[in-house]
Amino acid sequence: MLVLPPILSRLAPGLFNDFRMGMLVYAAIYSMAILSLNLLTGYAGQITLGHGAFIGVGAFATGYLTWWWGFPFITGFIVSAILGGLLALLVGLPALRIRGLYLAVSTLAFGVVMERMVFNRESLTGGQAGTTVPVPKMGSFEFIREADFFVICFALLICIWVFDRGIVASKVGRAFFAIREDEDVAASFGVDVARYKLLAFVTSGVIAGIAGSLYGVAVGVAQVESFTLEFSLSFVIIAVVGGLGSRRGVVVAAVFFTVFPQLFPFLDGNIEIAGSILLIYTLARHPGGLAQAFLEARDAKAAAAAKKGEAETDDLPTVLPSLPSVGAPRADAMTSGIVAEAVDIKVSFGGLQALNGASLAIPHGKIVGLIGPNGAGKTTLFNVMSGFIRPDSGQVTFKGKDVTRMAPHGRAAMGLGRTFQLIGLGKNLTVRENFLLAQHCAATYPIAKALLRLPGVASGERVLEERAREAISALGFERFTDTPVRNLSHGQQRLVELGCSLVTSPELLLLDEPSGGMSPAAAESLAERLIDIRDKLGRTVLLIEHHIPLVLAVCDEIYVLNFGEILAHGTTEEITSSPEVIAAYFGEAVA
Amino acid sequence: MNILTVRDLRCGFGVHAVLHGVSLDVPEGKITAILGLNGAGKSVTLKTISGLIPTWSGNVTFLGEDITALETEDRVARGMAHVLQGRAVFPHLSVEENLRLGGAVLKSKSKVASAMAGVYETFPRLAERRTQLGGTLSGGEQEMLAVGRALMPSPKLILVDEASQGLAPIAVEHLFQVLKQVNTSGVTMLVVEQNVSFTLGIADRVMVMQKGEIVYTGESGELDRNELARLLGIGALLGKRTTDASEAVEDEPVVVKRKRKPVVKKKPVVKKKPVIVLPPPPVKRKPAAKKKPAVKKK
Amino acid sequence: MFTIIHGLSIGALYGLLAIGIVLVFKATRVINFAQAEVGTFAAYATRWFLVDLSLPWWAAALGGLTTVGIIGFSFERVVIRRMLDGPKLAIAVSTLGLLTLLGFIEVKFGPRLLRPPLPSKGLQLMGTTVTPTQILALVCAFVVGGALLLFVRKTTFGLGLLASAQDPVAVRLMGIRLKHLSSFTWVASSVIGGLAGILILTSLGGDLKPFGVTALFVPALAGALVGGMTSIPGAFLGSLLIGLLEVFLQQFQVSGLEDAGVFVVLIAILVFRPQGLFGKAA
Repeated sequence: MLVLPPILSRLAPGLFNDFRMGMLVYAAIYSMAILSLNLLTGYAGQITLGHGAFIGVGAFATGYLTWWWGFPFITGFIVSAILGGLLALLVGLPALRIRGLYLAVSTLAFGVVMERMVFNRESLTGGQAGTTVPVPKMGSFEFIREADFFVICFALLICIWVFDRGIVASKVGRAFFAIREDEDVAASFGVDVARYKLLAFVTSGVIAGIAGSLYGVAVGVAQVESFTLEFSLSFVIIAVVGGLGSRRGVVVAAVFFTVFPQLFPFLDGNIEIAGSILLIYTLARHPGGLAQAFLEARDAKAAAAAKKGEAETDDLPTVLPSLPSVGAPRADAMTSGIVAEAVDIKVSFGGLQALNGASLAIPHGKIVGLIGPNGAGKTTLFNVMSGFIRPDSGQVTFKGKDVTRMAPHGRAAMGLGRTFQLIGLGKNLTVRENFLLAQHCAATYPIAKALLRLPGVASGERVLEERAREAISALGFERFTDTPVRNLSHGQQRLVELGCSLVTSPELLLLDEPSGGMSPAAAESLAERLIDIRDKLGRTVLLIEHHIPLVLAVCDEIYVLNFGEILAHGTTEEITSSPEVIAAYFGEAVA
Repeated sequence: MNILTVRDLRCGFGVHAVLHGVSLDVPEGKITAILGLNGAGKSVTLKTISGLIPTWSGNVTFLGEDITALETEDRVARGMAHVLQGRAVFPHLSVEENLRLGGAVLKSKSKVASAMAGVYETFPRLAERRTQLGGTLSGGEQEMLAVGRALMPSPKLILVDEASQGLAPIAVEHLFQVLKQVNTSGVTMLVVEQNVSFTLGIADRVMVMQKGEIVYTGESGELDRNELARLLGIGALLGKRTTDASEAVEDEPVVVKRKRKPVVKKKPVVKKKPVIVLPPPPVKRKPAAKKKPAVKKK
Repeated sequence: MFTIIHGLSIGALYGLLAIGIVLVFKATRVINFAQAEVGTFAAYATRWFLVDLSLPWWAAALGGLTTVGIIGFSFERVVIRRMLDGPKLAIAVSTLGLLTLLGFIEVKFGPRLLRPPLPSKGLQLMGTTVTPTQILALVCAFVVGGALLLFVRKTTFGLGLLASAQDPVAVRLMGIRLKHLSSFTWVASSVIGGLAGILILTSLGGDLKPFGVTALFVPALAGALVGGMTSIPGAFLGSLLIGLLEVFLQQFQVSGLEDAGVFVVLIAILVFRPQGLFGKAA
């Protein structure tokens, strides 16, 4: 492999001269850097404005180890990757608490501080003069010729590309996408949000460290003035203009922005200005923002087709399709007794007492309804049971275990599925991707295997794919398989959500207003489906619903919540014969 | 005379329609109420009337002028006020600053001062708290502030969205008394509520909304409790036997315990009247284990 | 003593930048990353009026401020207004575009010298040397900050500005047009940022460099965050604190420690007290 380019350059010296190959070296390095940023921002949705710092660390570390300490290049290279990863982990820690705009701010500040505090320090980096980064050697062979060095860069770029593709095709990539779409939804499918966020940071940092190491070699010296704020921001520009989340798009943009100014000297200095304008234009043209811009670029055709399809099939048929079957019950599944219980739950938001000592118990194999007027605290109680709100006091048990302090993804992994009032799906992901995401916990292969694409991953994925296909065809949604969920009607999204929550094979399913967006006829049909879930699939359901006929038709027991307290509890007959319930709905004071 | 006329209003979000052709009239000097459960489209109706949500089709006429194409700010300038759901006072501004903003369309300082004096007269509580920040007031006081602020430019019509939300019954009662008082002083109101019984106590005219459509319009005294529950979509909660008139033992109409509530006994209703049997106080039984047949929907 | 005066004068300049950040944040709920860069650009523009057109200092400064005012106005009109319904992060990234756009235009001019508006002979004040430009900067910072504060508290338009940060829809229902508020904030914050840039670059000395004060965005933002992001006096006070912190850390004679201090404050505030030091928990 190493022999090839020298031969090429000898065969056609004009075509593969150092100038052109040098250009391509930069193109390849920038492509790696941009893939690293794309992984973090485009996939996992964690914006980073200090990416240049990771690259700088790679360049300085390589120069430091090889020039000052005489280590071989490969040592510097590996240390760069590790340092990049560690530093990214450090930057990622605050991201567990802060999101969006504020995360952007913290990464920007990080970049500025690295520039001024670390890269600027005489003792560490040689100050203004910088650190020399020597040409790598392999035995007696020196990579002096750009064409030779390009081989290394190109090979690494290919590796990273394949790595990136592997991530996207595994549960890791889907977890990243889910975090970008909605962290709560991700957690509801059992994704450990904190862990995957940090993983995204570390992976991105490692790749950036590698790119930095090569960048140092390509320039020949690592200098503080290379790794400035504008350097970091230029990656953001390239990534946004190329299309965040699109592997091909960002690489094409990176190549464009590095190669064109070299080929056309008049562009030098102007390309950045043009890039800035292009960035603003891209964002302003797609008011939906980065994700939308990327999606439109990625599957403009699919979106167009979906929009057409939407016009034809506006809503659901009045008779709902049968739901996908669930997998075999878990080994530790309960067969009787109380599946989940909330005891004396109190929650207050500011001064508002949302829940004031509410208790409920959900027996196995039953459909339990939770009703009450608007603002009674139904959804809050749901969030407490599924772990999204930690109660001020009180206890939640699930399968006999105290889960009051357990994170939502842990409860999901134990077999607690839930839906959301505003559709708990990745709206920009396709129906198929959502069904794969929903099976996050069913993908049992370890993360490390997924990252390295070891055997076992592909076969595991095939099983998930198969189940996803089954589920989609059970719903009769084959033609929407590759349609982004946001292009479906509200009722259709409801069904997909219900299907996704069943695919997780939950023992207890919390459904938040499942009939929302459905016609009365479809809601009636939904009743039969819910009874199927109980009788055919043997699962337990807690149901919030404002469509009272549906509640009365399916529920074995009903709890009525009013002003954060359980007002009544009993069978449907008991509830319908209680004057207090209707009084609560009418807003009357109830003794 | 109708101060506001809405004809065949349609609107929604994206491709998802929320209002499917709403028509309503608001007579001058009266309190008109729209009742409905969560998600019926009540708030959207108000927001479309005040121009916060664009209309797809249909039109809105206010004081004889078609205002469908006007922006919210212009509608406000023509004498329409809108009290948003959830006590949208400015939490970090004082009571007095909130009121001053309410008078933003008034041209002179003296007008602002006299309007503010008027509001303090209606709500003495606000005068006591004039330097306090909006966010530190109690729920009921915040709602008063929101209403008082809307009154600043002396509007012809006030739209009030869910004033009772999250308030204790005693606070609701007080607030509604003040609303009635404001109304008697000559301000027309269109209120949207979930709190049925209090609303019936003050409204002259009632509409019921379900799933983006107005399903009933009438004088507030005409409505029977059961009929109303049915219109709201919670009729099933009255129990299955109530639909079967032959089983009725004692024909005792339900009167809400509130004194001011003008529900007339045994008033003939427009549609077939279901008879309710007041059930004995519920006895706690063990939940029945067997499956229940689905309730037939009307 | 010198440390305190020095710290306060730096802090006051950060304060001006921070006020600009807070203004935009209040009206648009977005952090304008270009806030400090506008300052560099204003200094470049001022230099152009001063040297290339040989205008007197005051006129040149006015020209520079008008230039960035127009930039702020147009940016709001052409870009921000179209994006208001979209995600806030996209708007924030578009301000990054403005940042790099202005910066790379400056790169075409390269480093330049901008002479200070007042003679640079130092004054003795309580045993320390202070240049007249520094005093001017301090006075300007306090005057502008104070004037702005009066404006927002005493006029209905200003109250509308405050209120729009709390509930924009309710502000529309008061009959106040959000578009006007938004235009005003962008022009005002650009002009204030421009003023801060000119004062910083002339009072701290040194050449005009592309992206010259951009890094100062970080301490200014830290100041704004300490003040809770939505309070003008809070931002100013917070910036004074940041200025003092920087100068005290500089005493340790380790280069870069002051940056680390600011960074730690920034992250700590973001993670533990997003409502700011003076704000109340939401």
